Amino acid sequence: MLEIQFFFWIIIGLLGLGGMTPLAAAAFRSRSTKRKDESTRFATSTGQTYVAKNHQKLDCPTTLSLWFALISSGLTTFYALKTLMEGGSSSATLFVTESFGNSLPSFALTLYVDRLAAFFLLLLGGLSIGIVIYSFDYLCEKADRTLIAGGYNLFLLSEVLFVVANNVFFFIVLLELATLTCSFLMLHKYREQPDHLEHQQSVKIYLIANHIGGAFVLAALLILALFHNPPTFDMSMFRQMPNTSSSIANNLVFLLALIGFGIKAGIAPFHIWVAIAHPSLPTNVHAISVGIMIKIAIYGMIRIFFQFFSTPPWWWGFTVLLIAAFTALIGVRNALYGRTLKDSLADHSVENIGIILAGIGLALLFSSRNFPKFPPIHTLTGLALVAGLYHLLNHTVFKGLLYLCTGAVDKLTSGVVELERLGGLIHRYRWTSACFLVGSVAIAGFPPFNGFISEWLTLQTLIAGASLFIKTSSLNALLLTGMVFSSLLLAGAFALTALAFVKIAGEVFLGKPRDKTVFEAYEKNDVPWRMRGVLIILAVLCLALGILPWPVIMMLGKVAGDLRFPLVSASPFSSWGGISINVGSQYTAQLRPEFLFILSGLGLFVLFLSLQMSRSWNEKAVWTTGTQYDPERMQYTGSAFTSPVRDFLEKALIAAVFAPITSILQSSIVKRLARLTDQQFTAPFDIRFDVSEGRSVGEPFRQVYCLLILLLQSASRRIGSFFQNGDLRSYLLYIFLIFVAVFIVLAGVIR
Amino acid sequence: MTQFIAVALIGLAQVALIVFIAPAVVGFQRWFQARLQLRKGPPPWQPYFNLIKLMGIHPGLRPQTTSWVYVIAPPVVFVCYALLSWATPPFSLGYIPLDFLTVISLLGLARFTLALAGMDTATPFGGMGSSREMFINVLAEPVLILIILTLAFQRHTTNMISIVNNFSSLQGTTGFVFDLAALLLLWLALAFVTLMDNGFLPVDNPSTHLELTMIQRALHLEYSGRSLALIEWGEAIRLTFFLTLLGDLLIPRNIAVLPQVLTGIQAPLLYIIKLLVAASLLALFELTQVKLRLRRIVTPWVVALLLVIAATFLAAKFLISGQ
Repeated sequence: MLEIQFFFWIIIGLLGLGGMTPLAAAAFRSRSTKRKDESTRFATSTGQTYVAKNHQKLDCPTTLSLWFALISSGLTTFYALKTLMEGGSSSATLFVTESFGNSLPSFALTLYVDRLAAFFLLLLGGLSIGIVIYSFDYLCEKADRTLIAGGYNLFLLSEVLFVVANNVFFFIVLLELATLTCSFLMLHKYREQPDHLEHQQSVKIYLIANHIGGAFVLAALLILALFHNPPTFDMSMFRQMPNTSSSIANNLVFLLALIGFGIKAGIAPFHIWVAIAHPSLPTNVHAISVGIMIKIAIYGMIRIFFQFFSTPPWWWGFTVLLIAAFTALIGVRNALYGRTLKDSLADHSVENIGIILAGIGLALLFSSRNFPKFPPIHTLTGLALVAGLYHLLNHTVFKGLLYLCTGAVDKLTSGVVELERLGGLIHRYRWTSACFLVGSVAIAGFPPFNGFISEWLTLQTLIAGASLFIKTSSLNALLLTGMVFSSLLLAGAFALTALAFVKIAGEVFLGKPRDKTVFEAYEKNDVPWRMRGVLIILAVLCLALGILPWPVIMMLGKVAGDLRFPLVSASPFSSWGGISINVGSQYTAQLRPEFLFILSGLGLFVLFLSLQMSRSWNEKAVWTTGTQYDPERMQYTGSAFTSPVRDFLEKALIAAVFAPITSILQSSIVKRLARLTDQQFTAPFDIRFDVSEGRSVGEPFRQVYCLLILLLQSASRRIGSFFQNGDLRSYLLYIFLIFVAVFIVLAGVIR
Repeated sequence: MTQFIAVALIGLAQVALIVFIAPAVVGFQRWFQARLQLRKGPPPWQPYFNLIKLMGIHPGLRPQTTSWVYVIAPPVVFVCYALLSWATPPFSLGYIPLDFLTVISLLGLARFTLALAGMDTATPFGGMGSSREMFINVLAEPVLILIILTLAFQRHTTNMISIVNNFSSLQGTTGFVFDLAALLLLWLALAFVTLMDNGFLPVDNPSTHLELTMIQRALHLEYSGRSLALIEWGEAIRLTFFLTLLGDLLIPRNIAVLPQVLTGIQAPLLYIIKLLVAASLLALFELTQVKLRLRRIVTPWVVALLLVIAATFLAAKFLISGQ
């Protein structure tokens, strides 16, 4: 089709230009930027000379490239919406490399846009519009703004193309390109503070983790391509003939893809890189990297698990569900230890990935071939997928909002994001604080905001599934235990999120400043209107998605329908909206968000009026049992706030989780591996956040990476010592074998 | 449309009823407990006088440190708790379907808002109270979710009205014993959650005057006048809701032993008797308890969790699933 081809060439052109202009400009002006950078840093370190920075205008290349990004994200959004509305799928070929006949797979950059891809394009484009508008003001004070703007364009380009890529080769290449462009943006903090080693370290960690993930994905896709009949790199072939056999290869593909994309999405136990690497990004890009990039991995999982296999065995979904529930709990637990606003929010992304994956895992479980005699279970598949996708959408909206608020705080306080130094921002910055509070209520999953709807859907699907399973005779103890256990973990994660956000919002925005000297130096006014506007729009979106869920669910139902799982077990409650779940008359549940909202809104209005009438509040000094009030010392700190729950969680987790992991890692096999490679059993990277003396939050998870790296090293050393034996004759043999191979291939081509 | 309006009006009347009897339930519980302790105690209708007095006090007092979060917290808390009474109306005539998960999130929203207000006061006690309150919430919520899961196993829905109106669907079959056992275990767990959520001994001492030991009361410390009235009233509604739920789980609205559905005056009478019995049981239980340290609550909590897990497996009739 010509249209889609045309459209994507435009996107590539725009974003490519947007990426190139500022990079070229930056290369020329690098010397002058460096000087300016030093002068700002001098001013900050002296402290006294610090004045509110003037809102200087952006330079030409940056503005230009931001405009390119804005136009192309607008186009992407438009195109995605059109595809979502009209449905169907369109594919096109951007370019083809020379054909080698049948014996070699073709390396054509083919595109394929269906509703699933369009949904991710919509999230990408929609969030990107907001971020670009926000960046016009945000980037003003950044010394390396040209590089950020350029890198952002390239990052966006690789993400957009990855979502629509339809060829195994380009799928992998674009996935890695996204990793690389993101790591380029990650160098931002390092450019700001070159003497801080940890910024360099975080980029390294990011690359290590994501390349390990990429390697697993590559292995999975190669196995998929080779075992397909006939072997092909074209993903349309996988789609048209989904693999139905339950061979070892299929299970291997599942495990490799789960680990590979899991590392990239940040599932436990591979999640530690998320909170270390992401805070190095400039905050505006941070919003999209966490809002979209880690979810691109979820996109990969959905594509592979639901489209390339038709009837998965039950343990696939079961594994995903358990891992998801565990991820949710571990993510929110790590967030309790976060030192800065950025760390804690990044850890919450891990938690939300867990909730999203829970929906996906449930869908995988329900679509399994092991429950053929019980049709209602299968009808739940669509609902579970919708729950997962709905939470994905919600997370993009509210996490985007929270990150952009963090960016605003970052800008207003000129870089102070340490939780224990902030406080009382609500008295000075009304809009930013209000938007952050809306985001907090949304992420904590309370009505009338959007987090509630998707968490409700996820839990309902879990409960419905469990209560249908107990009627089948195919119920086994493991399945039931797993579902009970994961609902327990998910509920714990939801409750802990509420706690964590009382802590975060309370510590940063409410109360009094905890560090008065810094507070004096902050900006006097709230962020400029363009940034404020984006925040407000996202906050309104949080509310809208929470009150009127049905249109969104219908749209997501179509997405799920394209994946062969139409939404049949849910319908609108009445013409007013609401959701009614009915699984073959065996399980029912209703949700009336709009009704709740109207009622509570009315009630609140009346009560608020009555309060307003007696408005003349008498303001009194805070009562502190007679001693002098000193907010800097007297207020509860975040660590004090979370202390009871941390104690409780540590004891529970050490007994249940960490002890087994550590004991596995210290088992004899691992020790033998360590000896084999002459390596000390040490980490490739350091972990912050000490729980207590000598014990840190991420220790067992860091060791998981150690194990992966050790395995890799020992394997490569063995292979290396076998092939690279230093004997000239064997090298000659290799050359000969290569020649033979080339001749065989050529013979195939000519024939 | 007229039918919808009728349903809405009946619903509103029921909400109003629960909202207005809630202070009496609290008052009765306190009075009965005082009598058990051989004290005279304030009369059961004392909370009404307190509320009237507090409502009359305006303008309110407010610490200088607070923002709008502090101001809007009491109405939000009150509305959330008042919405709970839609979930378990005393007569099942007109109602709006509210499900148990929504109920939990409403409870959570009220706590969340009040905890934020506690942080907003910038006092040591405010922060302390909200920290402890959210900790209790973290413990209570998983138990509640498992209770919902077990009830869904038995009733095939999470809709509150179906849960409070009917008994197990398996009545009369062989699996009924399992259902009944599961229900009893679940009821015990829910009773413990009631103590946790409403701040009763052994979790929290409702009549303490020592700020350092407070949990829920620490969040009320800065409030006065109309705001305080809204919070206290709201919490009375919450207690009434939990007691209603406990009563209805054991003795459902439509009892099978009776020939027909209760009509006329019988239904409200049964409802009020159940409420009074539940409140008296609560008072009796409180007599025997002492306050535990905050971190020691985990021990009884683990017991409640194990009870509800056992209930889940019983309700799944896992042992007899082969039949």
